[in-house]
Parts: sequence; C-alpha cells; structure tokens
Amino acid sequence: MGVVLAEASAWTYVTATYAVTIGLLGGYTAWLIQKGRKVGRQLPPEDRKWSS
Amino acid sequence: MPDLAADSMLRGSMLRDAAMVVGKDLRLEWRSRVTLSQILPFALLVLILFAFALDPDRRILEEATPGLFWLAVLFSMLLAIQRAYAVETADGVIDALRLSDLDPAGIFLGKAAGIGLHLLVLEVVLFVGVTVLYGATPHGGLLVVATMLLATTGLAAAGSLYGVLAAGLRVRDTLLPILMLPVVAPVLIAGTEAFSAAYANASGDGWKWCGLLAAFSVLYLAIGIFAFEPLLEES
Amino acid sequence: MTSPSAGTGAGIMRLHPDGTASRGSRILGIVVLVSVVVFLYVALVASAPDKSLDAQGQLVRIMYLHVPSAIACYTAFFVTAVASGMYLWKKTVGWDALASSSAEIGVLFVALTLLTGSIWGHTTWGTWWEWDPRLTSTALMFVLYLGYLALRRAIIDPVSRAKQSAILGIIAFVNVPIVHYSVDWWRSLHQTATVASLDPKIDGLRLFALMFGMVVALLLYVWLMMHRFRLAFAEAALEAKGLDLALAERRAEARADGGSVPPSVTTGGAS
Repeated sequence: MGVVLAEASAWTYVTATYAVTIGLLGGYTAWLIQKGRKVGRQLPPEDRKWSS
Repeated sequence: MPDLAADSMLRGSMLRDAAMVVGKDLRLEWRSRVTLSQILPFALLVLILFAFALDPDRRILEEATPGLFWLAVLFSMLLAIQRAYAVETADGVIDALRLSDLDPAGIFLGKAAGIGLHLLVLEVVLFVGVTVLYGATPHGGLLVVATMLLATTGLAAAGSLYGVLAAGLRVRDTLLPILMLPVVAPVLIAGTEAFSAAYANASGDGWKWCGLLAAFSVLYLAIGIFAFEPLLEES
Repeated sequence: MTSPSAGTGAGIMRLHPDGTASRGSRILGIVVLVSVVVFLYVALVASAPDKSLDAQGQLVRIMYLHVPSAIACYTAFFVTAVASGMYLWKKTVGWDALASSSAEIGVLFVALTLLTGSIWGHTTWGTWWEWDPRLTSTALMFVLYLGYLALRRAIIDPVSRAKQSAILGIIAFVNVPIVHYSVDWWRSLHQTATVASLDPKIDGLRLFALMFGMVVALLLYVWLMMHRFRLAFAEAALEAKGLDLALAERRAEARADGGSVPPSVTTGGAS
C-alpha cells in the first residue's frame, strides 16, 4: 500500500515538482534562445528569413 | 518511380539473392567459426554470470530461467548482428554489398536469415545450458519451439535492419545496442512470458504471446524489405 | 525574444537582431507566458481553495504537470514521424529540421513525464519506481528517442543524416504502440496489490486545471518548436555555407598552384 503523507510534506513534493519542471523548461528555453543568437550572429542577415 | 522492392519480389530475384547472401555468410562462418568460437562461449558466460549475480542456492535461478534465457539471447544477438555486417567491411564501408547487383530486399532477407540461423544455434545451446545449469525442467515442448522460432525471426529481421543502419558508422558498437534493445523489448517480454507458461504447464496463455511474436516478425520483415535499400545506400 | 526573467533590456516587442525570434513567435511567447501564469494560479491555488484538503488532494497537482508533459511528448514524436515521412518524400532540409527539432523537444518532455510520474509515484507508493505499465513504456520511449538523437550525432553528411534519421524517426514511432501494448499486457498479468493508478478521478476546477495544463503544454511546444526549428535551419545553412567556403578555398588553392580546377569542385547548391 502507499504511504499517505502529512499535508505539510505533500506540499513540499508539489512545490519541488513544479520547481523542477519550471527549471528544466526554463533552462532549455534559455539555452535555445542563446544558441539561436549565437548561430544567427554567424549568418548573414539574408539567411534569416523570419525576422521582420 | 518504380517500386523496386515490389518489382523484384515479382521477379523472384529477391529470394534468389537472399539465398546467395545467406549461403555466403554461412560458408564464411564455417571457415572462420567466429560464432562458434566466440559468440557461443559468450552466451554461456552470460549464463554463468547470472549465477554469480543471483543466489544459486535458492530457487531464484530456476524461477527466473525464462527471463534469463532470453536476456542471454538478446546480448548474444547484439554480437551476432555486429558480426553479420562486420564481415562485409574492411574498414567500415559496405561498398561491395551496395555496388553488387543484388536486390536490396534480398540482401536484407539473406542477412536476416543468417542472423536468425546463428541465433537458433545459440538458443539450442542456451536451452541445454539453462536446463543443466539452472535446473529448470523443460515442459510444453511445442510452445517452446514455436516461441524460439517466432522470436528469432523477429530479432533477426529487426537486427538486420538496425544492423545496416549502424554498420557504416564509426560508433556502431555503442549505437546498435541502444537502438535495438528498446525495439526488441516486446520480444523479451513475450518470449519470457511464453516460456514461463510452457514451464508452468499453462501453455494456453503462452500461445497468445506467440501471436505477438508473430505480429512483430511480420512487421519487421515488411519494414525491412522496404527500408533496407535507402539505408544500404547511405551506409 | 526572451521571457522577461532572462531579458537584458530587450523590450516586449523589440526583437534581438541575431536571434531566432519574429513578431509571430514574440506574440506567441507572450501568450504562453500569460497562460503559464494563469495555469500556475489555477493549479496551485484556485483549483482547491478549500484549506482542509488532505494529502491526496494536494498531490493531484503533480498530475497537472505529468499528464500535459505526456501529451506534449506524444505530439512531438508524432510530428517527428510525420516530418520524417515528408522528408523522405520532398527531400527538403526544412522537413529534416522539423523532425529533429521535434524529437529533441520530445525527449525533454519525456524526461519531464518520467520525473513528474516518479515523484507522484513516490508520494503514493513510497518508492521512486513501481514498474507501472505507462511509466515503464515511457521509459523505453525515452531511450528509443535518445537513440534517434545519438544516430543524428553520429552521421556527418547532412543528406545522409537526414535520410537515415527520417527512416528511424518513422520506425521509432511505429514501435511506440508495440511497446505500450506489450508492457501493458505484461504488467496486467503481474499486478499484485492495488497500485494506485496514475489516472485520478477529478472534476470541476481540478479537471479544468488538467485540461488547461494540456493546452499550455502544447502552446509551449509550438513556441519551443518555432525557435528550435529556426535554429536547426540556421545551423544547416551555416553548414552549407561552411562547405561552400571550403570548396571556394579549395578552388583558389588549385588555381594558385597553376593547375586547372576539376569540374567536380563546384559550389553545390545549398539545400
């Protein structure tokens, strides 16, 4: 059978999970944006067809 | 664009080329005896290592025999696949195979047949091995044989396909396992369950797992026949 | 284009000149950010304002992350499979970029699915892993697509890489239902005590939180895809340019040596 946790520690798990999720997604986003700029810097502007 | 795979199947060269390929590979094995002298001892070694890892004095080895058997088969399969394509290359390039006039689907089937035959030999020896080493008394003979044949067909087909994918790469030795093992996990599950049913004299359930193995085999044979050519071109 | 937390003076609608942002992605990004804030409020506060909640009631909040992550990863791998098929048909670099980008983001979401599922499991089962059928097949799917990414890293030639990973992208997705079915069947035979399911019965605002979470996850997937795709596309263009540059240097070398330039050394059309 499962272990039923006290309300206080349940909240700890919840916040930890949300923190991990936001951390992972935020970290990937930051890497993605930064990498995009880095590669974009090396390309002449005509190859970047999406910026307006 | 002509459907080369379908054309060759109609022309019958696919099977002829497959026979040629498997004949060549078997002749090669007969002369070099690599499977016999290296992969077979490896398979037996795995059985022994399992005994070191698990307590041989309790009944755990006997109870886990179905799973351990198929695990040993899977690990040996990786070596067999690598070997099947290593024979084609001097330094990682499968030019001869690609430039030959053979039908790619035929090459796929031939390679798969070669891998399958080697696996069957390994399985027979492993079966004797687990019976002797783990004390598992075999039951349900027909189910056991059917499971072995069907599982091996699936493993060989998937192996032939993924083998050619990895063959041309420098990292093939580390890449092939992670590509193959998730794919053949259903075969491990089904083979283990079927063997368990056979050993427990409850063959009824086991045959359903054989159905899964049959479906898996058909699927990968079909995928291989069509996908082998582009993969061979790129290897 | 950044979320304000990472902003370095870039305005709400001021796009970084070197980045992969556009008006469209900026607008979507703002929508995503707002949705995330709303979602967090609904998930963590509004969905269960009753203070006398038991532990189970609180823990379902983890589901609001787990289920949406799963939806996003399946969507991502489906897109990879379709884009792979389109690449094999059309042979343009865009489809390959789409396939690889979606696979990478898919792997991210699978990791999240496994993490959130494991944490939820720990709170209920007391252990970090219980071979629950869905989590187990998800774990296999994770390794499956790690293999896809590994294959891409192993092939240098862009066309060869695109072709082989396209075939793998389709086969991998075909494997997903096979693995699911086998693992499900397998676990259904061996389920001992009642293992609390990963599908809690919820309704009302809590169901809304779950549904809204799925919408947010998909929006986030699209936004990440826009940037990741553009990055892949830019890297492919850079690769082609690098090749052109190398070929041009080679031709210059050949001319300098006084020999004739072999006709094969021409600038290949950038894909």
